[in-house]
Amino acid sequence: MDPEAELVARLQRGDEQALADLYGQLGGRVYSLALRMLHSREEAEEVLQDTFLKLYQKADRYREELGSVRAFVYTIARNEALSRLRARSARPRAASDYDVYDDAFALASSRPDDVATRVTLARAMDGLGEQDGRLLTLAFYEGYSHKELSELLDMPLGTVKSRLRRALLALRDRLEEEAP
Amino acid sequence: MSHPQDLLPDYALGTLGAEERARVEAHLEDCEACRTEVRRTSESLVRLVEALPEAPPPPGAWDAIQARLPAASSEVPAGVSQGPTRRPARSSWRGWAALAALVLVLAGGWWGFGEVRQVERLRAEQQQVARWLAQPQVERMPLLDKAGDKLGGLLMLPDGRALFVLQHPPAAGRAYQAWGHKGDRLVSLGVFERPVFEVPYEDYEALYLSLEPEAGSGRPTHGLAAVDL
Repeated sequence: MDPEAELVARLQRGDEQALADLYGQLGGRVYSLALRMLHSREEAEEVLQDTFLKLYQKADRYREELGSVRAFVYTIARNEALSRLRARSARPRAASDYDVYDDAFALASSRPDDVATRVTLARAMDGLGEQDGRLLTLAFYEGYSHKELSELLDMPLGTVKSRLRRALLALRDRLEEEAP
Repeated sequence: MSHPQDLLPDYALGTLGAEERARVEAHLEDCEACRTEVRRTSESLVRLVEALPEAPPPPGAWDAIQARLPAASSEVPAGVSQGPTRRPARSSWRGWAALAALVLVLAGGWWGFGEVRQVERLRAEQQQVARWLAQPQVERMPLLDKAGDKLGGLLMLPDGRALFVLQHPPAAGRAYQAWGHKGDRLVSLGVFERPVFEVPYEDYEALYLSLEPEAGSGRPTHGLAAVDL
């Protein structure tokens, strides 16, 4: 069994140490995703806490055949962040507005495999074309819904859905080509 | 049944409404091909997350999570008595908190005016133990003497630091001395008159604890416990 799946199996039996181990491995990733989506350290920390509490509660819903533990955890995190975005009255101004959490990213790791991942992803995103890449960025990192994207980009709802789907599948195919 | 191809990417993204999500999940129960699709797409999303620069979680976040978990049973440390050189199963941190409290009680004795400083020192040691226990990646193991009786415990962090937490301070006129075993050498890691002390463990094959005269010794004269690393 995959080591992270093994940790979730232990978590399903109520093993708190398994949660601690998962936090040790994935806490930084969850926090960084929340920070990127919410542009707020305070809310990102709330998402971090709520994600691991949800993971503890929902561990029995994890299905290895549907994806990795990381995908499961990051999806919980993303949904927590999306809830907070929906609850806000104002939306973040721009995808490039990093001012609020510059300090946190100054501490960010630059492990060799992280850099490789970033380069691979950047190449794959470039290959999507500017508009589809932007669509994916807005949907994934900024959490815009189909309806919001339709209004933001002045694009029919059906077109948003089909282009986003196409962009995600194209990204997936490019990443799989690049994978070792 | 037709495959909900159009919905699978959104399912992986987590953006489907409740009704559509339920429909997709029902379909996935019986369709390996669609499960594979979802799994592949999920993994692309993992890459989207992991391409972000990773910022460290704020200190204290894990403590807050732990405080919000449902109360677990307060079991005693599950130390496996396999002698002093085996690393046993991990134990409940609540057992360790009890051990830290024991350090305070046993070592503190009954204090009067002249021993306020001693109480403060004991509290500081207890807080030190509690801080170590709160680290998400701390490893914990009992320290057993040659007879298999418990002397205390050892906490270890991935950054190469270890904390000895002993049940009793050394006898009067004596001190604990910690050693690192490297190749054919024993390296003194310090002489300690207190029951809680930190040593580095990186690069060593084992850690030893001995009881020595107050000023320490050039080599162990009274071995107490050993831990293989």
